[in-house]
Amino acid sequence: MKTVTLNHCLVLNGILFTLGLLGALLNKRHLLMVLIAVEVMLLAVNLNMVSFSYFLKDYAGQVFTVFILTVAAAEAAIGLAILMLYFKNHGTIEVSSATTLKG
Amino acid sequence: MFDLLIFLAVFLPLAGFVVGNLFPERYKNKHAPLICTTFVGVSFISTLLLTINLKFGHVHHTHLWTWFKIKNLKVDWGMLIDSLTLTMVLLVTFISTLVHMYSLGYMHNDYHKGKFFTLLSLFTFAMLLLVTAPNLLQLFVGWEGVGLASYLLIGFWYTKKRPPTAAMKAFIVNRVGDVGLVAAIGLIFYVFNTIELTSIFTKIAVSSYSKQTLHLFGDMPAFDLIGLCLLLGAMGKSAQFGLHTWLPDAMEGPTPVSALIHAATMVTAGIFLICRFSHLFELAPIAQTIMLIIGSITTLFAGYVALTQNDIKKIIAYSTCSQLGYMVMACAVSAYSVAIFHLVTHAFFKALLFLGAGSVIHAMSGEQDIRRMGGLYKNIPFTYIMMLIGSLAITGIPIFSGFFSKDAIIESLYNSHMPFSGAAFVIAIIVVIFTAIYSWRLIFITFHQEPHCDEQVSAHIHESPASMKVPLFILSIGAIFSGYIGKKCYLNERLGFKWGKTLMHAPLDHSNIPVFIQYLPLLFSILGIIIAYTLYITRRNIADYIMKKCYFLYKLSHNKFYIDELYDFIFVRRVKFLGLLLSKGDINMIDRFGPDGIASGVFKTSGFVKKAATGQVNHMILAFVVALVLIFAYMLCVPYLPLQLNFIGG
Repeated sequence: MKTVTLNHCLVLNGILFTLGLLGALLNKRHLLMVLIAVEVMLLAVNLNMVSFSYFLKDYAGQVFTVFILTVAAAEAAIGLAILMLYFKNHGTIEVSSATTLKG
Repeated sequence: MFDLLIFLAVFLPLAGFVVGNLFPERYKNKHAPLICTTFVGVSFISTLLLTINLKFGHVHHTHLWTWFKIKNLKVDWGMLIDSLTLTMVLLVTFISTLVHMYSLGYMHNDYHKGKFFTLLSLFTFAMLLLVTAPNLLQLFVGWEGVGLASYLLIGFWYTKKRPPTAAMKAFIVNRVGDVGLVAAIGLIFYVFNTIELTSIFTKIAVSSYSKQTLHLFGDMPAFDLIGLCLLLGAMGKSAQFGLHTWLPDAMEGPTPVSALIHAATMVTAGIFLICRFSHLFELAPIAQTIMLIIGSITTLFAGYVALTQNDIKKIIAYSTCSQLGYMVMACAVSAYSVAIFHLVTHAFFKALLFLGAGSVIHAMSGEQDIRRMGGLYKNIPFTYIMMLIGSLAITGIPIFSGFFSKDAIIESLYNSHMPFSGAAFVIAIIVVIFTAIYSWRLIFITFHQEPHCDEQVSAHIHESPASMKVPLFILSIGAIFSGYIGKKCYLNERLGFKWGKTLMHAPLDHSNIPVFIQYLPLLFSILGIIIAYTLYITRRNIADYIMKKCYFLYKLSHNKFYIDELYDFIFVRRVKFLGLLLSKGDINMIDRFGPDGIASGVFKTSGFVKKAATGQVNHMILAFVVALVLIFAYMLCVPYLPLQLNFIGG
């Protein structure tokens, strides 16, 4: 019987992180999707931390993850609030519509 | 007390310049003229108090602060006051005060009146800095300051076509002379190992210094070489032949400036420099001989050219040039005190003539050509009398100042045993006639012949305001009496005046001069006046006849010996050609790849980079991730890099 090793976990985290990154980069439709993709990236990193913490028997990583999740929740709330306002002002949340930062 | 007075005398004109310029532009015209005039006036008064308190013959040294110190070369700002310096300071502040007063009337309607007065004050300050300098570097600062201020003032009416060119010419020609002065300073430091004037003067007498030779162009006695370099410097400022071309062109400036340049602040600097180093020149026979030759050529040339000029200011300008030649001749035959004496009397009557000419120009609504004047003595009698006094003084008629000083110069030329001094004596006598003719030609054509001006101008002829009359009047008193008093002070050392060691002074020896020689200059001046009277009043056809018969000589004189054209051909065009050529290289190489290249490169790059900034969120995220990856890659690679370029500190 095969056991789950650190390598398995790291590959999973890598895949998750890459998915999140590609989602953020390639998504053309919704800003909401970008937000979710960024959240996926964050969770991948958190999972990475938990895996290391488990396999190295250092619980500080898990405690840290709890903190980060709390902060991430607040962050997500802000992100969503911005999105709400954006929708109110522009009537759309299409990614390509947000070009005010153009040089 | 003493230090304070001399400090005030020198620095008040500077204060006038600074305070005048602190006013904003719209108040400047209203306040700056009065402030500058007052400050210069107070400066004159403090000089006067200084003169009363000073014992002549002593040297007073005031140390202000240290400028810089390199090894054994210590240069201070300070003031050296002795008889020579005090004479100059008194003269400069006096003439300058009068010119300031005169300008109040003359520049009344000028749009940049305030600026004009501040510049006049700057000019005065630079000259005072020059004459009071205790070391050669401060003297050089004053020297260049005078050059700068003259440049600014000659080109004062910068919107007209000719003043800026004339200003540029004055500046550049003076630079040629400056090369001489800089070389002289260098040589003096090399030979004496100091640039303090007092220690130089003590070292001049020591034979181990005076016997030195320098290997520059073959073997030259060190003192001769220094003397020649100093002479070149003096030639530039005092407009001696060869470097004189700037002086007549400087007439493009406002008339008060011309008066200041010619009487007090600029052309006297060269004579002052020669007299300052009188002890050195005494031990430099070659330099003295060359000085005599240059002085003679200048006085003859300028006197001859002045005969046929038609611009009222140009006539007086060439007359200054000629009189400066006299002074240089006097210096060359070791009669330095006589040269200073002539400098002082000349300052009075030349300032008088110039300010008088300014008054004439003022009356004629800006007309300067004497052929378009005439019969003015009825309309402007006051100016006429003033010009008359000036002309009598410059011609050397007894009672008037020029008589005493010019006689002294001619007698010292006669007494001298130098090579060429006989020829110089003959030239000096000939120029006496020239002086009389050109001065009285001016008077007769301007004031006595029938009016030649058109009706519009003649209806408008008016006497000048009081602010212009008062300085003229004061100067006329100076032009009459300065000769008599000056002779007692400068030549015979009476009235409490003593040269001391500041100047090589030898009392004039009248015993071996025949009576005939003593009266020769007077005879020749009267002859000159009679010639001028015949040519320009009674038999006017003779002048035309001579002009046609000696057309070549006339042309030569009228066109100033074509020296401007010659210089234009030899130097100006070559330099312009070279300048244009080099500027092409500058524009095409240095500018193209230097400043311009960098600027356009930045524009191109930024235009390219701008396209990358789309403002799209995912593009920004991509850039962010790529940058992060690069940074991490760099941090991982740092230990394996051949060069330790560690910016991040990882």
